[in-house]
Amino acid sequence: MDITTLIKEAKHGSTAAQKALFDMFADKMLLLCCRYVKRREDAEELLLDGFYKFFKNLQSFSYQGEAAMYCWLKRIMINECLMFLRKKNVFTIVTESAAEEIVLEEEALNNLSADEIFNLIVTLPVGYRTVFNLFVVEGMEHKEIAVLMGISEGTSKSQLSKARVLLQKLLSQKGIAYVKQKAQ
Amino acid sequence: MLSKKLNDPFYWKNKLETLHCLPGEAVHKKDALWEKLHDRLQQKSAAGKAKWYWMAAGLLPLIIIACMMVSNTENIGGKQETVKENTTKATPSYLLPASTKAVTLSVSAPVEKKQPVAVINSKVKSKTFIDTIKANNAVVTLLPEPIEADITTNNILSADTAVTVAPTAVVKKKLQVVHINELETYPAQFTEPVNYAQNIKFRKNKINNLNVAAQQNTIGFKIKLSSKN
Repeated sequence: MDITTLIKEAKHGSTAAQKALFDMFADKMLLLCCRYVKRREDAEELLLDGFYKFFKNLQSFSYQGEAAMYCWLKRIMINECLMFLRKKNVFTIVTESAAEEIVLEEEALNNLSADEIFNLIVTLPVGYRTVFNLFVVEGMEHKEIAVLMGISEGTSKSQLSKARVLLQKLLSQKGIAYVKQKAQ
Repeated sequence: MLSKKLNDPFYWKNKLETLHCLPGEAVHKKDALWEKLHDRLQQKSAAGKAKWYWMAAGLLPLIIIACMMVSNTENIGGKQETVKENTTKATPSYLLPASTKAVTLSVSAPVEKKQPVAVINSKVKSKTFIDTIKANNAVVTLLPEPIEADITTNNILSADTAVTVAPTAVVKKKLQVVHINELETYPAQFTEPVNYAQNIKFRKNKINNLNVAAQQNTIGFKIKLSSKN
């Protein structure tokens, strides 16, 4: 069935249409939630909350294409995750000691699978992970991230750079692509 | 130097988009999640309905109480009307106000000494008196035609009663104020000489009489005060 008709029927309260939409986007949204929240149970709970809000506010949503709808749903999920993290007060900014600069082979990075990249992101500390997700994956600006997380813009920038350094370190530890360790 | 690939957001995005499900994810989990979500949606809607039911249940007694209060006030009004009727029946007809035609009707009826007519009049009286309180115009419309004709025949009898006597306002006569010196002929009380002695005598007698009366009423003994003993 077409997504437009599905949304129309879901607006009228059709359970079948709602289930079809849930089946369509649940996996991707669960992945998104898991990128922000480590625990699987928490991610599932956030997924349910997000979908619940999505179906409840579907009446006010004017459909302008699948991409717009996907973005709206994604935004709902991200907000749910950030709210959850704020509630738990886990935005403790980790100050890592100056990481060693590592140069990674580009070919080796290309060979990294999606699962490996996902696992790498999940292993990052909460502060790094959130900033990295918002900036790199979602494409938000530092200003926007600072507002969402309740931190300064400078902190957001520093957290991102540290997250990158840590990622390189993790990659090197895994022995995926280690070229050179710059001696200080 | 950091790798250029790590700074490239498209690299991460593209890599993550190829991932469709969590590593080691069981397919059936999604159905379980949907069941949970469906239950939640159903519960919330049921809770919303229940909320409306509770609100309705709360409002219902209030509405009933309001209706009862309104009906009670109406009853009280009705009772008051009946009380008014009773008072009109109890009070004699001559005490009723003479301003309306209705009252004159009620007075004239017993004078006629015609029983059927009197009954009709009493009914009319009670009705009309209440109506006079509301509006005088209504009284005129309620009055039956034939009774008015009877009044014309018994005009003299009805005039004997106290009620039918038209209340006339007493006009105070304005007297001319004239000074005594301006009068040509003095009144006798000013011309005759006054005998003050008579008045004094009279007063003396009066005082003596009072002393005698006081002596007669009192019981006492005399004390002789002399310097011999």
